Parts: sequence; structure tokens; C-alpha cells
Amino acid sequence: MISTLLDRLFQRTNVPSGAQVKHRLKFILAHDRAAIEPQVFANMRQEIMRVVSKYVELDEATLDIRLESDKRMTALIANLPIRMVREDLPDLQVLFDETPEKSSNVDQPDALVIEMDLSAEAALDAIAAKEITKLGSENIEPENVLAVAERTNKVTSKLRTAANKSPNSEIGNDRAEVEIDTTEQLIINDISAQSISITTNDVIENLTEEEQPSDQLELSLNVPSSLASKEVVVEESPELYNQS
Amino acid sequence: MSRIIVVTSGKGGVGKTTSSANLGMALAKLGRKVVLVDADFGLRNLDLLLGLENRIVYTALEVIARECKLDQALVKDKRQPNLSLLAAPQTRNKTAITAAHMKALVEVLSRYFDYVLIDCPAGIESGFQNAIAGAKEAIVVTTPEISAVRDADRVVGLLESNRITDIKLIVNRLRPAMVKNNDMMSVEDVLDILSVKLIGVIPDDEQVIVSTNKGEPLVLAEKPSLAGTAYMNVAKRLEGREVEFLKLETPPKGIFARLTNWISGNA
Amino acid sequence: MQTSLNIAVKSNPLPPTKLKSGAGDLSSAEMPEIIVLADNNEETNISLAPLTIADVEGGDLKPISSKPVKKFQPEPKPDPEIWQVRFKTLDGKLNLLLPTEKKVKLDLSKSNDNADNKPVETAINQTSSDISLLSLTWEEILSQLEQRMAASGHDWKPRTQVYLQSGDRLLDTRQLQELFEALQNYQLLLHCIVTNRRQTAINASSMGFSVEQGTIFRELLGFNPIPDAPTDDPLYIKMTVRSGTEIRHSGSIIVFGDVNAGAELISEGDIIVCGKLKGMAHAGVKGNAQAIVMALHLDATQVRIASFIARVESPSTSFCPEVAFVSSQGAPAIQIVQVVDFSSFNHFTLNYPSLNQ
Repeated sequence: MISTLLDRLFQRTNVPSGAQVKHRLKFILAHDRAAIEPQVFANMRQEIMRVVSKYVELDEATLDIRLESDKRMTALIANLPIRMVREDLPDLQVLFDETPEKSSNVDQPDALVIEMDLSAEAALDAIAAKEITKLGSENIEPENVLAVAERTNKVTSKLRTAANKSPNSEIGNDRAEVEIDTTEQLIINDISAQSISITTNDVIENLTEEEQPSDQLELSLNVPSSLASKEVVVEESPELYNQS
Repeated sequence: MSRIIVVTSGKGGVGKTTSSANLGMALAKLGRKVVLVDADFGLRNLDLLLGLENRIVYTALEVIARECKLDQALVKDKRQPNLSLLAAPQTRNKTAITAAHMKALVEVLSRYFDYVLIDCPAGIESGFQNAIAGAKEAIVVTTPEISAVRDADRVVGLLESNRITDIKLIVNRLRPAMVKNNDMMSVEDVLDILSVKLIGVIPDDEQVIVSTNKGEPLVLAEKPSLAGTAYMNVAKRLEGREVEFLKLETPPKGIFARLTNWISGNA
Repeated sequence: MQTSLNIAVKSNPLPPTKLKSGAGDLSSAEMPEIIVLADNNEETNISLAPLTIADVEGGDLKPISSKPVKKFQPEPKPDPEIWQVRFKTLDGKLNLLLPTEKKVKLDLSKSNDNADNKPVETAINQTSSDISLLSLTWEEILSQLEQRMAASGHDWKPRTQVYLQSGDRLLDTRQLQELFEALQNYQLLLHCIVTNRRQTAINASSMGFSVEQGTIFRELLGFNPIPDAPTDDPLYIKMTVRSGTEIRHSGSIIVFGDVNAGAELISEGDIIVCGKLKGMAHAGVKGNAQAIVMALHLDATQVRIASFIARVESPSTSFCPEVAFVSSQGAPAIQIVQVVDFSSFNHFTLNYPSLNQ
């Protein structure tokens, strides 16, 4: 009882959670507003560290790279304490070799984890396969429209990641392109079968701007009066292709 | 035998996310492997309540879009290694995910965790439908207010017609003083209307706000608050133990009694 | 406009521009609601008015001042309206009836610009008496089926065969599969699809179900020439009716369980609740003012009988069964008495003039 009494009397010395929460909120709002995806930010952070540490040795424990937002302006703030300036530029090769090592440390083969990842991928594959066959065999249902929209969403997201990916991941890029190919093909097939024209203007615009695209696609239901509408769609896809 | 439980309510703001976070943490403390899934795509909150918001790199959407592996998206809580979080995306379009995706994810997770707790968004639209897609049991959270109870009733109906029949109830934010004055519905009144099995009564507690501020679920505090103890009891009941409901009494009125109350750390 | 008959007219849900883009002469597209009612003088058939939509179905939305005359015959229309999923046993066979779709077939090739399954309709909504929903989406149909089975599924022997009466509805293989699986959960076997549509028949037979032509809605629902008598056996359900649930039946409804606030029971006959009635109950919905609403605890938000509406003033604190009925002592209005006293009023003799609308 006495101890709790003392706790209560001296409670004021603890940081009241109100201040703590303000700090947390500012931090997370900065991230949200900049709309930088977490993994993109992490990549950016790594690269900044790598580039700077080519010239100066950094104190990794106390460095701080973060976004701050204030009155609707967001800034990237990097606080990088320097241990010492490097005499000679370090071997670039060494730096590049470091990163694969780090990642291999993380990937300590936990069999259970690998099994979980594989079964997740298998389950998602099964769903994707089901959707493709579904669209082939059915009459027009508004759900198809949704499914097609969903796939075009996937396509746009793939295109976006392809655009955003750093030059290191060449292999991933190719894969994305191949997948884009097949899904585009399916969309074109569906369109000719169902004569719904989909405007992919949003996708093109957003890729050029490199902003966070809105994934809304407009589905305008024009009565298929001309082949022209179909052709438009076909033409668009090679364009998208080239941009990635 | 793993359990997949969706925490839902219909009405917003009654305490789904708080309950999910605290129940998850409590179950983890009891030794179970728990994964919390935030199904509120677009307006995620579960990470904030757990204080894990700055450790999120990948979310459920990246897993579904095959941009990362499932394990990479699970954030493990450093304070409590039995607990993991699968966060929701903040920035992307909600229609990118379907119920089939959620069901698949949740089923895979259930093979590697003892409990999969799904934090459901408010409402009964597609977000709700996605969240209940893989669930086998449900915990409905309500407050003793007429609108919340009415919405909870609707949700129970929807759950039943989606073949989720194991439904339990948490009555949250109870104010015993108001109940005594007949200014608030009692737990019995709520049960009378809903006819669902009661699994917990959580009193209205200022500590909840403090814990959200700090990003530290109530059950982690060294000195458990009333609400924290209540959540711990719910977790124990989920595990099958018989725990008596807390006596939530109105604060005593005499000055000496109030002083002792204050000293011992009550509100 | 016959506003005194409590018919609210709903404006065309489609924006006019959409209509004009496709079909021919739809200049009168906004007219239907008005014109259909304009020459309506025969009051007895107002309650059957939703069937007027069937007449508009042809898509010729020309001014139809002459049409009302043709419509108002008490002769049964092609197929009776079925609003909800229903089970019906006839000749020893268990039939599953799916709601009929209310479709307005416009000349557009794709008239669905809704993302979900709701067929487009120019709805003429009515209040109290036939509260017409827009047709149900497939998900709603499935969840209604689930509800009905949960409420009465235990009454059937395992492996009972089910005959699906799907009428004019187009069902694809996925939907048939979903129905099959849903029934399977209650140990019912989907055995035969009875349909009027060729495509449905093809899909069903490709999945291995037997197929029959020509749904027998009329036989099933026992078309009754008397407009106010309930046309069907009572529906007996054993479950708590939750908020947001609407149960509509062309016979009496008996609920063994509670009816929560926000739920609605709509019956052409009586409504009997063995439990607490806290929702809305509408008995005698086609004009039968002799219908009653009885509950062990009558605490309804609203009680409606035929075209009368009443609120429950103050629910009795003691738990006593009560019944609401229309009494003609003084001005006709809904009265509530305890059930024990009800029989002394002698309501079972047909002394009242039946109050048609």
C-alpha cells in the first residue's frame, strides 16, 4: 500500500503518455502523408546509408533517417553521426558484397517458416488459377467485371512495382513483365468476348508521374458500336509495356 | 487445434481493435502462439495499439500481390515473442483483396499458430465480409448503448447466416455507477436482447487511453488495471478455464473510502 | 394519383441519360410510375400492383393509359411473385423455391451498371402492404437459404432430395454448386433442377443434376381466388430473428424464438411469436383485417394489420401473452388484449366486414 502510495505521488516524474503519443502520431502521419511505402522507404534508407558510408564512416547505432511532417509539409531528415572520414574510398565491391551477406544472416532456414511461405504461395496461386478459368467459362456477370477490374488492378500494381524497382532486381522485372503479358492477354480476350471497354488512362498517367496511382479503373459500359473501342484497348497495352 | 476467431461489432468505436490487441497479448502471455490479422484495409489501427507501427515493412496486401513472402510480413513483437502481427495496408485500394484471399491467408496462418485473431473493420460491407471469410468463431464486442446493441444484433444475424455459430459477447466500456443509477443498460439487459454467450465484461477505464498512447496493451502493464485484468480473464475463458466475472462496483462515496481508493491506484 | 391508397411512387432509379442511350423510344421512361396508376379505379387490385411491373417488363415504355384496364383482372398472372427463398413440400417432394427476379428488360445489351447483381428495375414502391425490395443479390439469396435451413432444417430426414424450382432464373454452374453445397450442410441432396430456361437446364445437366421443364409455382403456392385468404401453409421457424432480417410469407408465420428490434415479419395471415416480439410485425398484408398478431411478450416497434398501424404504447411489465387485432368497436383500430381474454371477444366468427383496401 505504501509503495503504491509513493508511486502515485511520484507519478508525475514519468513521461505522461500524452507527450509520447504526440510524438508517435507525428511520426506516423509523416509516413502516411508522404505515401511512401514502407519497403520503398527501407530501401531508400539503406541506399542513403550505403552511399554516405562510402565517404565517411558512420556510427550505425545512432544514425537517424526519418520523415517529418509539419503543417502539411513533409521533409526527409537524416541525422548521421560521423565517426571519421575515410582516407581512401573503400572497395566498392566490398560494399556490394556486404548486403547479400546481411540478407543471408536473416534467412536462417527455419523449416517451419519456409513451409508456411510456400503454402501461402500455393494457396494464392490456386485462387489466381480459379479466377482465370472462371472468367473463361461464364456468361456476362457483373462479378466478371469486378474480377477483370481486380486483375487489371494487379496488373497496374505490377507495373508500378516494375517502374519502382531498383536496377538490381533485373530478374524480378522480367518476371513481372511476363506476368503482365499473360494477364493483358486475358483481358483482351475477355473484352472481345464481352465487349466492355476499360479505360486504362489512369494507369498511363500515373506511371509517368510516378506518384501513387489511384487504382480505380473506370468501367464505362458503351454499347459496342464499333471495333474502334476494342482496338483502342489493344493499342494501349504495348505502350504500358514499353514504359516499364 | 488452432482457432480462428474474428473480433467484430458492426458499430465502430466500441473497442474491437482494443479488444483484439489485448486479447492477443493476453493469450500470448498465457503461452499460446498468436497472430493478429488487421483486416481493416485502408484504415489500419491495430499496429498503433500494439506500438508496432514503425516496424511495418510489408503488409497483407504485399503478400497477396506476391511481392513478399508471408513470413516477411509478420511483425514479431519484441516484448512478447509469442505474438505476431499481419498488418493491413494503409494506402491502397480496398477492392484489391477478396474474401478468397483472406480465407486462404488465414487458413495458412492457422496451421502455424494456435490462435488467429482477425480484427474486423466497422460496418457490414465488403471489409466485414472479407474479415469473416476464414473465421470459425466470432467475438462480438458491444457497449451498453442502444445503437451498439442494435448493430451487434444485426452482426450476429449475419454471422449466423455465414455459418459462424460459435459467437461470444464482450460488453465493453461498462460504467457501473451509471448502471446503478439506471442511466445505462446493464449487462443483463444486453444479454436479454442479444441472447449470445457472454465471455467478458470490460469496465470503462482511463488506462485504455493511456495504453493506446504508449502503444502498450493493457495486459503488459506491471500493475494490471481493471480493464487489463478483465481482458486477461477473457483470454483465460477462451482457453476453457472458468473465471468469475469481476465485481465492478461503484466507487465508494465516503471521503476516507475515496482516499483509500485513490491510494490503491483506482480511478 | 391515388395518394389516399398509401402508394408511394418511387422515381426511376436509373438516371434518365442511361436509358436514353440505348433503347428506342424511351422518352416516356420517366413516365411509367405516373401513368400506370393514373387510370387506376379498381381498388381491389392495388395490392396486386407489383405485378404491374410484369406488364412493363416488355420494355415498351409507351404511355400506357389503356393498359391498366387490361391488368386489373383477378386472374392469376403468369407466375406468382416469390419474394424470398422458400421450402415447400408437395406430393411428398421437397421443393426449394428461389425468389422471382423483378427485371425490366430494357433494350440495352448491358443494362447492369451496378457492380453487384441487382437487376435493374423501374420500381414502383409501395409502403405498408407490399414493401418491395429490389431483387435480392445472389449473396442475399444464399444467406436467406442458410437462414431458412437453420430455422427449419431439423425437420427433414437426412438425405432428403430437393427439387429446385428456379423459374425463369438463369443459374450458372457456380451458383448451382453453391446451392448444392449449402444444402449439403444440412444433409439435403440437390437432386433435380426445375427450370424454364434452357441455359439453366444445360448448366444443370452438365453438372449431373436431373432437369425438368416448367416450374410449378402455381401448384406449389396453391393459387387461391379469394384475395384475402392466406395462400399458403404456415411458416414455422425456430430461431431468434435478428435485426435486419425480413421474413415475408404468404401464409401465417409462427416463430419459436424472439424477434429482435430491427427485424420484420410480414405475413398474409397471422403472426404468432412464442417469445418476445420486439421488431415489426405486419399481419394480413394483403388486406385481411381479421389477422392477428400474438406474442408471449408484445413489445413491438410497430404492429400492422392490413392497412392499420399501431405502436405499442407501454409494454406490460408482467410477462403475459398478448394479441393485437383490429376491433370494430367504434372506429376500426388495432387493439391489444391479453390472450386469455381474447377468446371471449369471439373473433373467430366472421362477423366483421372484411376490410379490403
